Amino acid sequence: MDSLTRRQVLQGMVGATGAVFLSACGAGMSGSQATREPGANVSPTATTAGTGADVLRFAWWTDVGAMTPFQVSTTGPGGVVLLSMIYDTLTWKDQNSIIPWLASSWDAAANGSQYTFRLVEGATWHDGKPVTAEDVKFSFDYYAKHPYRWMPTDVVRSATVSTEQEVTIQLKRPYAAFLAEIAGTVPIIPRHIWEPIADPTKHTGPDRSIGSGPYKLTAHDEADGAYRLTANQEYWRGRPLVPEWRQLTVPAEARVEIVRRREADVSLSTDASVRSLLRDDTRLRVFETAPLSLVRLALNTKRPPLDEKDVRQAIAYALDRGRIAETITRGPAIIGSAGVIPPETPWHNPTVQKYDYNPERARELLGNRKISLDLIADTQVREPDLMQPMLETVGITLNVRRADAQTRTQILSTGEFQMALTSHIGVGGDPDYLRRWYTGEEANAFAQGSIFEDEEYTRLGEAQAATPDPVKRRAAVDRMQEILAAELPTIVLYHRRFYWVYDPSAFTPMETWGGLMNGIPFPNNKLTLIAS
Amino acid sequence: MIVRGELPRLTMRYLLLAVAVVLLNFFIPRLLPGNPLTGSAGDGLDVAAPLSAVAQEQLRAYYHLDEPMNGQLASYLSDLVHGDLGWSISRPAPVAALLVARLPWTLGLLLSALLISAVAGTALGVLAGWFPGRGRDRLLISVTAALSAIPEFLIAIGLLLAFAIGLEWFPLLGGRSVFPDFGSGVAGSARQILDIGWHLTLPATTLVLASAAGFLLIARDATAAVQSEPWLVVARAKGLPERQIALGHVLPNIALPLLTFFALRLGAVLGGALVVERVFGVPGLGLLAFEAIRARDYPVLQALFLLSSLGVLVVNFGTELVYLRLDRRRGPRLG
Amino acid sequence: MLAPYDPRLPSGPPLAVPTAEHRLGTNDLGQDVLSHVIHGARGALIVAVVVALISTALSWMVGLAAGFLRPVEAPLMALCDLLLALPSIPLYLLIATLVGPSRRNLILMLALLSWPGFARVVRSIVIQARSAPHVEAARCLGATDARIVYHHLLPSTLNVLPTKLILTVRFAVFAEATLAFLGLAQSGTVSWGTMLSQAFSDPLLFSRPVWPWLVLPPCLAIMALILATTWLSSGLDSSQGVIG
Repeated sequence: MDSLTRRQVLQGMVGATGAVFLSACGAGMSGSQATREPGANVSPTATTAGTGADVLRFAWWTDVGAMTPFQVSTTGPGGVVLLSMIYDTLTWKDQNSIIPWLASSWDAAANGSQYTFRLVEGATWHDGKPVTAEDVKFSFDYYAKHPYRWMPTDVVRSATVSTEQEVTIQLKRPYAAFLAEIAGTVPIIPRHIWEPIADPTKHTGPDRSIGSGPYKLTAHDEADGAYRLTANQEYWRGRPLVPEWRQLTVPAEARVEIVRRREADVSLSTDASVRSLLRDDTRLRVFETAPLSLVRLALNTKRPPLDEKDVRQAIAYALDRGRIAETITRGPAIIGSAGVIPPETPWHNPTVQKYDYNPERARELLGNRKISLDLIADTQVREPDLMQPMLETVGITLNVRRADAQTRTQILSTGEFQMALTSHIGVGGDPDYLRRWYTGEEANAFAQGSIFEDEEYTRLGEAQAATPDPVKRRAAVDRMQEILAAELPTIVLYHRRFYWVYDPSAFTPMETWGGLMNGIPFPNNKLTLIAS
Repeated sequence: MIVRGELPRLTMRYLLLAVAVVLLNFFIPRLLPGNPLTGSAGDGLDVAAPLSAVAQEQLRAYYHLDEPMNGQLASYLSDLVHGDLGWSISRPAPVAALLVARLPWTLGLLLSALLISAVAGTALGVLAGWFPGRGRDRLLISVTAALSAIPEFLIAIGLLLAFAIGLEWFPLLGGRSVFPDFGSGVAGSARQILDIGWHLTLPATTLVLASAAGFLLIARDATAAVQSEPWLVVARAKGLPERQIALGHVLPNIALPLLTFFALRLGAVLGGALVVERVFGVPGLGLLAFEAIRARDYPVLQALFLLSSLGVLVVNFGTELVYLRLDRRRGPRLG
Repeated sequence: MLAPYDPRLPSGPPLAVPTAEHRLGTNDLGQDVLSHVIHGARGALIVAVVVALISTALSWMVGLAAGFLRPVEAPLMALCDLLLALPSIPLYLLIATLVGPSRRNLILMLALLSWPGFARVVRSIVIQARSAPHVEAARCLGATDARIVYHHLLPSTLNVLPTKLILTVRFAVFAEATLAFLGLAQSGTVSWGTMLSQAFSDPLLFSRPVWPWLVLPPCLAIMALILATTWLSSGLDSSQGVIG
């Protein structure tokens, strides 16, 4: 952002609404560079409805790149969630379901391969120009050339504009996950900004972060990893409740401390004991997400002895997964669902086969053989240290090879492994990932190493992806989970919640149906930040 | 007076070293397993992005990661000749811009820490060596020995715990306040400088504590060694004040080993202070290197290693030139 | 062994403060901290001693070769300059990431990267000794090269080796601990560095009352080892005791 733009934005905001976003907001963190501009040093006059804060500071742990769909960091979800406050998508999610967003309504073709979206009236870009069907068409055309790294749009064949507010998206094949995964995740970008840009990855123009969302980017300091977003008072869907949103980069070890010192208002802990550590704190609260994450073993079903189902099941019985989960999360255990999809999420099948801790049964399944297995795990993870003695008692020697996450991904992509331990999110949203993992369609870190072939599973995977009928889809996904649970190409050790520490006077956390977008455990759904 | 033929030979040697450094820095990052397109957030929040295999190929081609090594090397070298350090893969910015944004932090932090530790270390060293073996000497030596038994990161964590978390005198992290409002004019600039100083006090103190020992011991030994020199005895006999003897006579005589040690440390400045920057979250070159290694950001790693090793080479070259002038016999150097 | 428990097995509730059963408390997995300190001593000493021996041997041989054999002097010294020019901690971090931080890899890495500084010292001693009057005299009397090396050059270089050994012990212990702190320690191996790494990988460490029992034992053990080696070297030139 150059200073001219920033000044214009500031003056516009101050003049139009009298909202004050530069008032004192905590020791050492007050104000902004922009206050050097004239007209910005206004004393607080207005407060917001719903939340008492003039500025909300959200502590995350890395810089998340520039706020464009082409330059946002996809290492972790911190970037795309921030992006969702600046850009809008066609659909969105609330606590219970998929809801209309930029698209006020839509029709799906009977076979599920074509969607017609009607856009809301009055939506504008941050520079005042209207959001039109042309922008939607342009976005999908542009993503075909310059992929959005968070969500592939390959399934889109074409987009055609019928009226200024209506656009039809033709898919290459019927795709049931389209509304949730693509329409609800892929940001719509302004055609007038991006059309002339041939290489968006290296575009640095001051207009690059213009979206249609409730917040405008007004400053980004790359070295500090700090972002300042100011409320878009003209937002078509309602007035943003907090005049200013900041995202700060805070290393893991300072994340809770910084909220306690009132230098941030919302922060994340992955450790359940944060609740007991903050028990005496009358000001702060802890918000628990659904268990949207899992820690699992990927088994190479092509390598003896893991090609035997009995051996895979024996491993599941031999591990006291409840104790592993309790020790490592320091909270109540949520033992891994053998069907992969976590409990408390929309697509979970609670009836799949369970593998309660039973070393006797494990020894039986192994036929009292002694076997030796190699496990690849990240350098610092602790699960293998607990697994080793447990497996030892049933006659399995576990050789642990430690590597960093990048190295693990590399090894997994070559298939030269027996077992790998991995931990990730993205499993609470649309269940199409169950299919994609095992088709080799995805190239990301956690699909790597998913090696499993089963005719019925493949067929069901294709069927659930194609069917427009939600009942049939659920049946197929349920059955896929049963197959996973019986065959165990992956053993989920446990599911994890995330613990958001926040100041309730400044922020109201919100649980999103199946996680934000594609299963992200963040409490800052933009719905909670705008007046309804 | 530089020996004839010595200067070209030395220059040639350093030029060859620079070429070797350039080549080495291309290959070292690329030996790392993994690739820059599959990042890892850690903490179970690992990449949820279902990057498709097709998109992955597109991106590999975009960053020329699919080219054979010699092709990548050729374009790296030609870019380098044109002064282009390339684009970062993990951050949407040119590498040169990333370095320029961080260089002031690293230089400010390390140079000020180096100067403080040189001055303080030398002063204490002269004090200790003035009466070798006396109580003051023994005390200073013991404190130094104890301090140098603590790894730098523990000194840093100790300071952080005591003064930032415990007493809350200093900030938890960062090199300055985020989006600060200091007002304008001289007062604003002054507040800004104070703010940075407040943030950098603990990191700089760590570096001073970790590196003052070297200066102290060198100065102490050299001072102790000259105590029996005839000129010092003469100076004392003339009744010159101690302070004048120390500054006017002893210091010039012990300057050479101290300067050597200073140069050695100066060369390492551009490498950043990775550990200290990591503990205190100072956005310097060291922290950038730490993050670039995890992200496999080849262009950034290349440039960082290049910058810091060229820094060492330049300082070494300068030091050798000084030696050539000072001492044609080229006595032993500190390693 | 002296350790009360097997350090690899959980033997109590996790993150417990000291009790009669666990004199120094337990770590995040419920393993006994005291047993870790005791077993970790072995690991720390192995790393320190092996690295020191290999590195010192390399320094000495390279220094001798460079000082005495004209044809190899330039390339060997160029290699020294090159290794010394690369930024050390980022380089260690990068290589440890590359080869994986197992104990063997750590030893090899630290040993193979820490010799150049002292190799230069050895070389300059050789060069000085070579032109010393008694060596010149021996050469005039027709002594062979081998004889000159053995009788005149070797002894003068041997004097500095104990200093180098002790410096490298300190270097290796610090390097292991620092890499561990930066996240490159192999969980599962028992060492002081790993203990620190596990402690610091807990983001809430300093919010827990138990933290001193996780951080101080390995720290004090490291400091004790370093102080002990420093005292061993107190007969040596004190300034060399600190300049790495």
